[in-house]
Amino acid sequence: MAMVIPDGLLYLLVALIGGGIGLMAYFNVGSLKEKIDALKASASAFFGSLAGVLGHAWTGWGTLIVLAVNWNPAAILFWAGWAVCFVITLTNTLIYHEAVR
Amino acid sequence: MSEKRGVALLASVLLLGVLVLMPAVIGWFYDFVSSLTHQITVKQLSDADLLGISLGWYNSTAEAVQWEPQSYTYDPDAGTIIIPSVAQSGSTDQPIMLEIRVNHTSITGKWLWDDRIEHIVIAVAVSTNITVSNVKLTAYDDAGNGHAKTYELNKTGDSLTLDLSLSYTTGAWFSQYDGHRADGTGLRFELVITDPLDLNTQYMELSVIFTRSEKSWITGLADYMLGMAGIGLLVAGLFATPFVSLRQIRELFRPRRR
Repeated sequence: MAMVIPDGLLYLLVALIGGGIGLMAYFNVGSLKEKIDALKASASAFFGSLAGVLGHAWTGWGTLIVLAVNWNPAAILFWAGWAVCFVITLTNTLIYHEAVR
Repeated sequence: MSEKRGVALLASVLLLGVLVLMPAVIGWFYDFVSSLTHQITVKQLSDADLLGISLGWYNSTAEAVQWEPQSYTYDPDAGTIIIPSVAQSGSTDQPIMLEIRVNHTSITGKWLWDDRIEHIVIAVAVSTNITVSNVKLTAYDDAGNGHAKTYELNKTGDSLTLDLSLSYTTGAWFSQYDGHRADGTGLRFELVITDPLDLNTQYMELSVIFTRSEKSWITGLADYMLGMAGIGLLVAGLFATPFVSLRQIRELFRPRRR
């Protein structure tokens, strides 16, 4: 039986993924030293989420999540590749303060 | 901003860009390649696939939409569903809806994706001119909830061809809906007719066909592109680590000196 992802949850997921990338984008160029930095990081996460949600409304990229949870091999391969890229660049960003080493 | 930080920022933007644009790029390319070939009929709706046809009209006295089941016959040679005399027991000042419900054992949202359906073509012939403003295509999940996409068409005439085009992402979205087993509904078509508002006693013929590109390799193209993008991202991820670099690859293929 196919697994259903409600549209509301799908939008939440794309917002979270977009927000995660927005945070990573901030930590690639800045750090949390002062209070104002937290605001900048939040703004970056917000704009990442916004880009994710608007992007989903425009291209429907969130449906790639739907395909993956329903065991489409191509979508699983795509997400595996994307997750590897994301984890490596995130790890590099957090530990070495540069995404690509 | 230092050059390293610029590259790092670019990496973040690229990650989001790849994610957001990938379905669109696949969809555009898939549509383009598919448009170069003919469409073949995968399935034509028959009476065995039908659960029922109803006409809905707003009853202002009851302040509710009234659904009236329609009697029909099926012509297997022409593949058409014939409603000899449409039944509408009252008049209305709101658009009327023609509903076609399809059995979940033959056609569901998941089936549309699995069979890579690209177009659903509904042909309607009526004994009077009608205007169809839009068609709502609803796929049902097992909990019985309907999930719809609406196609704005605005077509007028006594013989209409309504083409519902399914994009790559629309098909992917429909793939999660496998039909409502309890009442047997897989898909539902709703044709919204804005003129005339009374179809009582009119003769109507319907046919619904599901098509896709005739070249079988094209139907798998989107999956190949998505999988290759995943492999590309895996390789890009490896190059973001300090363990693999372009310099190392170049050195690997450089002729060695004695």
